[in-house]
Amino acid sequence: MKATNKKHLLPILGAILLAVSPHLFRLPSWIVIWCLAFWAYVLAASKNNWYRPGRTILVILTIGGFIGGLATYGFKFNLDTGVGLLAVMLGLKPFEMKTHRDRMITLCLVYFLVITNLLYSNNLVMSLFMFASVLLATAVLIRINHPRGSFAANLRLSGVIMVQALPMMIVLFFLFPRIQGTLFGMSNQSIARTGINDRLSPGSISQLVLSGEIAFRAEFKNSIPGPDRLYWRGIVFQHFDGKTWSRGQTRPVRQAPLSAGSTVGYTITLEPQGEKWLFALDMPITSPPMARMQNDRTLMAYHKLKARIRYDAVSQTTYNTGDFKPEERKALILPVQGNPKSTALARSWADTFDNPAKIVNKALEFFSQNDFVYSLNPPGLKEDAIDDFLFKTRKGYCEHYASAFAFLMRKAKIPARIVGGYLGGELNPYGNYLIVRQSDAHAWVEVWLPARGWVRIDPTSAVAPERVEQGFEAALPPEELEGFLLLKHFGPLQSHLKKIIFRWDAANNYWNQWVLGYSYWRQRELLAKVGINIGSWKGPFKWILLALGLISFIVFMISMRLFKTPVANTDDAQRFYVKFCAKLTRVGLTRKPGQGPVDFAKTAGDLRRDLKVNIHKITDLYVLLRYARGGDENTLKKFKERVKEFDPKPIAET
Amino acid sequence: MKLLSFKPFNKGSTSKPFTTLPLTLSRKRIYILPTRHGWVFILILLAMLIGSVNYKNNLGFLLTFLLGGMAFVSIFHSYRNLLGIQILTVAAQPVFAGDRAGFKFSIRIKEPERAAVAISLPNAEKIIKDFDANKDNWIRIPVAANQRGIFRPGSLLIATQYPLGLFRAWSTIRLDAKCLVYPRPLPGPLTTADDAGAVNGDEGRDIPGAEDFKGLKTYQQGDPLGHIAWKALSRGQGLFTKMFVAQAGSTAMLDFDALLEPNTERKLSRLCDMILQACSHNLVFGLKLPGKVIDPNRGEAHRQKCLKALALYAMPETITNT
Repeated sequence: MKATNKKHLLPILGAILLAVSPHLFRLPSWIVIWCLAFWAYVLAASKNNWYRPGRTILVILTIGGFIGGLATYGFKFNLDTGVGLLAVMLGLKPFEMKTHRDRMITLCLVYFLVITNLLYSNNLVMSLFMFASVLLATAVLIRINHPRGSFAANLRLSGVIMVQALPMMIVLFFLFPRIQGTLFGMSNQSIARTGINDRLSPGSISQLVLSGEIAFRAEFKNSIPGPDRLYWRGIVFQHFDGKTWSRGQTRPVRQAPLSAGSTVGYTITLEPQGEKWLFALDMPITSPPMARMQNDRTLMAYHKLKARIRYDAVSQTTYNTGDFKPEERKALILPVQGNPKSTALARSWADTFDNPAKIVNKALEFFSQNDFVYSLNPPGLKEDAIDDFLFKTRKGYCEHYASAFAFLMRKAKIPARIVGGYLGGELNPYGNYLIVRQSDAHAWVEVWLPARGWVRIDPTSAVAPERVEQGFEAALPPEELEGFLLLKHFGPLQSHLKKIIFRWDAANNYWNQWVLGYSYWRQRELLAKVGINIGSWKGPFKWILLALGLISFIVFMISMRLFKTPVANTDDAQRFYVKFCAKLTRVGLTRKPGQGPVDFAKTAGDLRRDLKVNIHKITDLYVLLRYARGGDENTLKKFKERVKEFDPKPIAET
Repeated sequence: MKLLSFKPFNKGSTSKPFTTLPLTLSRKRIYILPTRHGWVFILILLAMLIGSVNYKNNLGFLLTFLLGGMAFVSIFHSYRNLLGIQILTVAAQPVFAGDRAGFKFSIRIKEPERAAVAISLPNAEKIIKDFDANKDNWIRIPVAANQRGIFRPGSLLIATQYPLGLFRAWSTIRLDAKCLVYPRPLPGPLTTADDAGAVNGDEGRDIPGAEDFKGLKTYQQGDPLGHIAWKALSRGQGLFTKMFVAQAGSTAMLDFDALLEPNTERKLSRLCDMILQACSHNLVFGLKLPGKVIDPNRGEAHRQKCLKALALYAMPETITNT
């Protein structure tokens, strides 16, 4: 291994290691060990001159690693497999870094490795990682092209180039056309998604409580409504099969404006959940451009949300939805069979009271006065789940209460439906916005009352009023919270920690708002502000990209052909040069160790003027073959012939 | 700066006039194209862009545009690395055919300093060098000169891939660099026009009939090695030079037509060898070529005059690349 190679090895390994570091927790352990072991070995081998595997062994290792990788991922081709194979390849790459070309290709792979990380998660930390990784990789790239400079100077130049590139990056970022939907129908399966499902059954909300993940952040234009009004409407469940509630059919409608009540405006930065519904405060009165309002007053996006988006919304927290529409009759439909006790209870209320509002109150009373317990770990429910819950277990999370309440209402001939969404949110004082987490997920009920329209009823509040005012931590019994890492466990550090967490989240929020949440819609808004109106440019854009790709590929192939002449085997050339030197040694002209070919030719030629011409001719060819670019097969052939013909005679001693 | 211009380089057309020195690399002279690795990089960027569009990954966009921006910025760094390099002079000492002509360039760099600049001539090893600013730098590029005459090495190529290796900036300069190449000496006896017989000159032996020994003088720098009185030196008497006096009528005349060699080039090579021998013996000699006679004389200037006559014999003045 040449000295330059040794010099480059450590920086290149460093760049690879930084770029691969977020993957290390995702990759199968054998690939992690594979990479780290090979890198440690190649580093030690270059220091101590140990054995390094030849090409054959490397090819065998590569094939073995690929097959192993494919087997580990079950021969499925997706992002995980791609990253795994890339890591397998990069594990071996440092063994092959003798030439400038190898090193350049390795660094190109490092850049590619960085983007694969971004497909798994993109947040502020990943953004910082990205910049750091590019800074280091570029410094190493500079080093490869200018080995004499110090590494600090390389880093500095890398930083300078990066800063100089920022304006172009920013302009391109905001102006580069964004599209709706996906380009080729591929979509990213790798970003882990939690969120409210399109089905509601016991346990579907309570499992989200375990997740501290952020669902969205909401920034209010004016003051933030009180906690009893922070119901974030997402999805309406209409259809009940006896155990599970599902969404049922909706259709987009132009909703008439709501009467009564003042409006509240806010902006939401929604984390991707892989579903179509957007969240808005009860009741939204406008729909953002990427969504349409449905006849159940939910906001449904045109495409599944696979990236962070940001949208403006306007709601009325007090409202009257007006008349009952014929299509809303399905809010009365229930399975005919099952849950006899609950059915009897509801029927008795319907017979007793003539006013639906009284029935609602009666039902709430039933929950608050019968020792119902708010719990994350309710016992399982058998057949006739509603009966089982209402008369036996009486322990449950919000979905249990909502489900039972809606059932009772429908049996009492009151239109009722369940709404899924979030309740509350935590105010970040450093950004004046609400952080709504998955653990704030909630389900409540809407009933239709004459003259008032759809009215929100939260049966959970009858059982655990703290849930509404203070969040789930206050509402749950303390023993159920033991498994959570809560701030109160940190004692006196709590307030400091809280401050740091809030500040960090505020930074995240700004970054999300301006960078990560940028979308087709934001771009449209931004360009509209400067008077440019764009339609959808997905169609032409797809073709432009394909054409660009094709053109660059052709140019690439041409350039490869242009620059690459069949290169003669330099090893062959060296073998013949050694023969040539041996012939000269026979007549007393010995090449000193470390003497360059040109230097040797000069010395030898001066000592033996009669051989000078031939010596120089052969040396010139050798230099051309070995060091210059233009060594083709013909030159090699000529060189070999010259060496074969070269037959120096010793000088006759006199 | 000419970006992405596919103008062929390295093929100096003969109709183009030579560039006069001193020359400063200016905007118009510098070309830039992606290297092979640059194309690989661009291809990878494109893949990143398509991935970012498809997955709507804003961080992916950010990375793609950052890398694209950096590659773009590096074009200007490469360009800046060549801009303002000044080539002041180029010169080469005469050589014998088969030797390497060493072209020596004097290069001046204005602020800032330059890194990894490759300078090369056709068929010569590339020299990669960092240059300090505000200092005169000397660069010597040896090129094989295989044929007698005036050797022109072709266009000088100054190139750089600094800083990222993704783009290569270059400038070709059709310099009026030339080197006088004497014929390759062909060893043999020293024959003169007067006596066609061999007057062999083994080095260190006196040449009977050509000159008479006159005496010893103190050695001075530049005296032919063959005339050093080795015997006196070995006796520890000091360094002396043997002095010869050429006898009247015994001036050596080296005659092209008197040689029996089969062709012109061999004759010239023999003559070259004889001139070298004659000089090493400090003979007075003249040279007779068809159509040109140089009167007998001796000394360095005379030697060069004779060798140049050989080099240019029957050669058109303007030749040639190898």
